[in-house]
Amino acid sequence: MIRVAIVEDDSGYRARLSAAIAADNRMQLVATCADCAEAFELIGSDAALDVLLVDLGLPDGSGADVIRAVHRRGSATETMVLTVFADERHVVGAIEAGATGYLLKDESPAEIAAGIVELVQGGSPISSGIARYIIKRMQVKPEAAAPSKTSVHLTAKEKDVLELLAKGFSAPEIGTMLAISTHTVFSHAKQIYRKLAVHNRSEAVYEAMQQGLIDVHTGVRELDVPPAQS
Amino acid sequence: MLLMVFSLDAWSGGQVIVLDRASVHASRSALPPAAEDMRWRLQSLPDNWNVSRPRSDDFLWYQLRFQVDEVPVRLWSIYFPSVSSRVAVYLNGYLLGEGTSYRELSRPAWQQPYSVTIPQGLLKRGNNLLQIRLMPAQPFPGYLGRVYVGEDHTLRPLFAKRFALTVNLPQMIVVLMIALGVSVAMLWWFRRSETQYLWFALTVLAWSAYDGAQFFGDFLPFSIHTRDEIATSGLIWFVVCLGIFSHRFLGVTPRGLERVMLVGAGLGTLAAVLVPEPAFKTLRVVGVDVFLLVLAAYIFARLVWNALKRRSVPVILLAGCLLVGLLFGLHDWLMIMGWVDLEGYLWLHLSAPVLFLAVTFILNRRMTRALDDAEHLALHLEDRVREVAEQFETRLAQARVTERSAVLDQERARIMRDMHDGVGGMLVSAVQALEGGFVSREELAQELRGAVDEFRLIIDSLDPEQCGLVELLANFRARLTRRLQGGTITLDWPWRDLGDLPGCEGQQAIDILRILQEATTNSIKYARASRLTLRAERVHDTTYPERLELTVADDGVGFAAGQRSGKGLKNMAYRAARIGAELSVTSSDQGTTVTLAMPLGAAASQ
Repeated sequence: MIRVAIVEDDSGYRARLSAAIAADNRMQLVATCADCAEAFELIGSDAALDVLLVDLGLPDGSGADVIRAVHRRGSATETMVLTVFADERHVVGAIEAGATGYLLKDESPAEIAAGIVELVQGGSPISSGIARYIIKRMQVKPEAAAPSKTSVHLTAKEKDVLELLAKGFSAPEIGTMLAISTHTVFSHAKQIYRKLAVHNRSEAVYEAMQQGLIDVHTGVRELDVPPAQS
Repeated sequence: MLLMVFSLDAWSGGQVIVLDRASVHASRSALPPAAEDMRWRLQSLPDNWNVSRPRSDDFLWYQLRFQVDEVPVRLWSIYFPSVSSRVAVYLNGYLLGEGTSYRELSRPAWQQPYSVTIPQGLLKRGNNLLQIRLMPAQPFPGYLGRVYVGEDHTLRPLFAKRFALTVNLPQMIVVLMIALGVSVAMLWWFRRSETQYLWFALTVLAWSAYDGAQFFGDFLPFSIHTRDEIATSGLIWFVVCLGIFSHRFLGVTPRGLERVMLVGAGLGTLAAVLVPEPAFKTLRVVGVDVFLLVLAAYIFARLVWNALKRRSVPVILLAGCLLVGLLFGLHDWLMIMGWVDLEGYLWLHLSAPVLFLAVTFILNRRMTRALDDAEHLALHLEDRVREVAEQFETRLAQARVTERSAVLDQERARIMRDMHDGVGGMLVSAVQALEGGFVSREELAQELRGAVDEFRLIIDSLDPEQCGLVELLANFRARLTRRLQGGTITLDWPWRDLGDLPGCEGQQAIDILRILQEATTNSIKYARASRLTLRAERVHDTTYPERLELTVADDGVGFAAGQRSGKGLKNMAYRAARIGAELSVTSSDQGTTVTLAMPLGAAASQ
C-alpha cells in the first residue's frame, strides 16, 4: 500500500486528487495540507509516508521549501511536484530541491495514479523540454566556482536518454532505440533527478562552507543552509 | 661711442711719447736706408696705403725721430696699436723685432697690435732713430698707425687689451660659433625634416672656416695660399648657405635659384682651389666678391620684402641682423678705404655672431613653441577623448535602454496578439457556448483543454531556449499523444531527428505550430477519423530549395460532410502566406490532407 499525502492550497483540486487516490486500491491517502505550515507539521511528525504531492504555489511559502524539508529529514519519502504547465524552470528547480517527479494538474485520475505507482517503482516522468533544460543547465553549471568533485556525473546511458529526449523522441521510442524497456527509461530519468538534487545540495553546502556559514565539525543540521538558486 | 670705449687715449701714469710724424721711402732694401737719403718724404701717421699710395705694392720704409731726455732706467718698449703685421722694426740701427708674418709669406693679419721691448742701453739720450719696414699685405693695404714709445709697464696693458680684442676675441668667437654650428647640426640630425637647421648649421660652420682661417692661421699647418682657399671657400659657402637657410626660414623652396647658387658656390670653391696665387687676388675681388655681394643683396632684399609683407617678428629680426652685418661691413670697408680711422676696430666679424645668436634664438623659440603646442594638444586631446568617450557611453546606454524597451514592447505586443488570437477566442466561445447552453460537458472540456494547450504553446514561445521549431514540435507531439491516449483515434507520428532548422524561430515557429494545431484539432473534432497521421520531414529537391514539410492527414469524412468552416481554412492560408510557407489542402470522403511546406534557410526568414 502506497501511503500518499497532499500539499495543495486549492480545495477543488485537493478534492480531485484525494478522490483519485482513494479510487485506486494500491494507495492510501494519509494526510492533506493546505499550506506550508501544515506541511511542515506533517513532516515534523515523522508520519510514515511514501509519496508527498506538493504544489509549488502555496500561500505561505514555496513548495520547494517543503520538498527540501522532507529530504533534509533523510526519510525515504518521495516527493512529486504538482504543476499546471510543467514549465521546465519550476520543475527542474523542484527537482534540484529534491523532488523526483512531477504531475500535471490536468491529468486524469488514472494518469495520476499511474504516475504515483511508476514513481514508487523507480521511474520518474520526464518531458522533452525538461530534458533540454537539464542539459542546458549542466552545460552552464560546470563553469561555476564549485570544483569538479561536485559536478553531476551521468552515466553514458543516462546521457543518451537525455539527448534523445531533448531531440523530441518519446520514452517508448527511446526504449526501442536503446533496446530497453520504457520503465527503464523512466528509471534513468529518476536517477538523473536524484543526481541533480545531490549535486545541488553539495553545491549549496560548498557555497555555505565558502561563506563560512557552516562548520565541518558542527555539521549542517545546526544552521539554515541558504536555499539554492533555482 | 663705441670708439670711445675702446679708445687708447687713456693710460695711467708713465712717460709715453706719441709719434705721429714720419718720413717714408719706398725701397726694397732689406736694411734701413741711409738717414740722409734724399728720397725720404714726409708722412703723417696713421698712414693707410689705400689713401696715401693706392695701387702701389712697393715696400715701404718709415723713419721716425724722437727725443729722450735721459736714458731710462726702467724697461721701455715700442707699441704699435695697429699695423699690418709684415713689419720689421729697427731702433738706432739695431733690429728689434719682426711681425709674425714678416719672414714667412703667411697671410698677414691685417690690423693687429704689435709691441717690441727695447734692450737696455739701446736708447740714447737725445735723438733716437726708429726705422720701420712695411711690406704689402695683399689684398689689404699696408697700414701704420701711430707709434708709442714709452715705459713698458704702461704700454703693455694697452697692448694686451688691444690684442685681446683684435685677436683673442675673434678666436673665441670662432670656437663658439663652431660649437653652435655643431650643436645645431646635431639638432637637425634628430629631426631630419627640419632642413632649415641643417642649412643654418652649414652657414655657421662655413663662416667659422672663413674666420678661423684668418685668426687661427698660425695654428694651422696650411700654407698661406691654402688658408686663403679655405677662407674664400668658407666665405662663398657662408653666403650661399645663408641664402638657402633664409629660403627655408621663410618656408619657400625655389629650387631653380638654389641650384644656381649651389653651382656658383661649387665653381667658386673650385676656382679658389685651382687658380694660382697672383690671379687669385683678382679673381677674389672681381669674381667672388661681386657674386657674394649680389647674393647678399638678394637675400637682404627678400627678407626685407617678406618682413614688410608678413610683419612677423622673426623675419624682421633676421632682416635686422643682416642689416647690422651690412652696416658693419660698410664700416670696415670705409676703414680699409681710409675714410674711417683705422685705429678703430673691424666690426664685420662681430656681426656674424650677432646674426647667429639671433637666428638661434628664433629657432629655439620656434621649437619650444611647437613643443608647447604639442603638449597643450596632448593634454587637451586626452580631455577631449575622455569627453567623447563619456558621451558615447551615455548614448550607447541610452540606445540600449531604448532598444531593450523596444524589444520588450514588441514581445508584449506579440504575447497580447497570441493570447487574443488563441486563448482569448477559445475562452470567449467556451463562455458563450456554456451560457447558450448548446454545448455538452465533453465538448466544453475539449474546448477548454484546447485553451490550456494554447497557453502551453504561448509559454513555450516565451522561453528563449524553447523557441525553436523542433522544441515546439516535440512538445506538441507529447501533448497530442497524451490527448489521444485512451481515445478512438490512433496517432501515427514517427519522430525523426530534424537537426537544426534554420529560419524557423520565434514568431515563425509559433505560426507553424498554430497551423499544425488548427489542422490537427479540425481532424480530431470534425473528421470522425480513426487514424491521424502526422509527418514532419526535411525534403531535398533538385528543383526546390530545401524545405520542411509538415503533413496532417486523417482518414475521415472530408470537408463536405464535416462541419469545417471556410473561415478556419482561410485563417490557416493567411498565416501560411505570412510566414512564406505553402499550404495545400486536399479533401475527399477518404480523408483530408493538409500539407505545409516551409522553405529552410536564412532566405526563408520573414
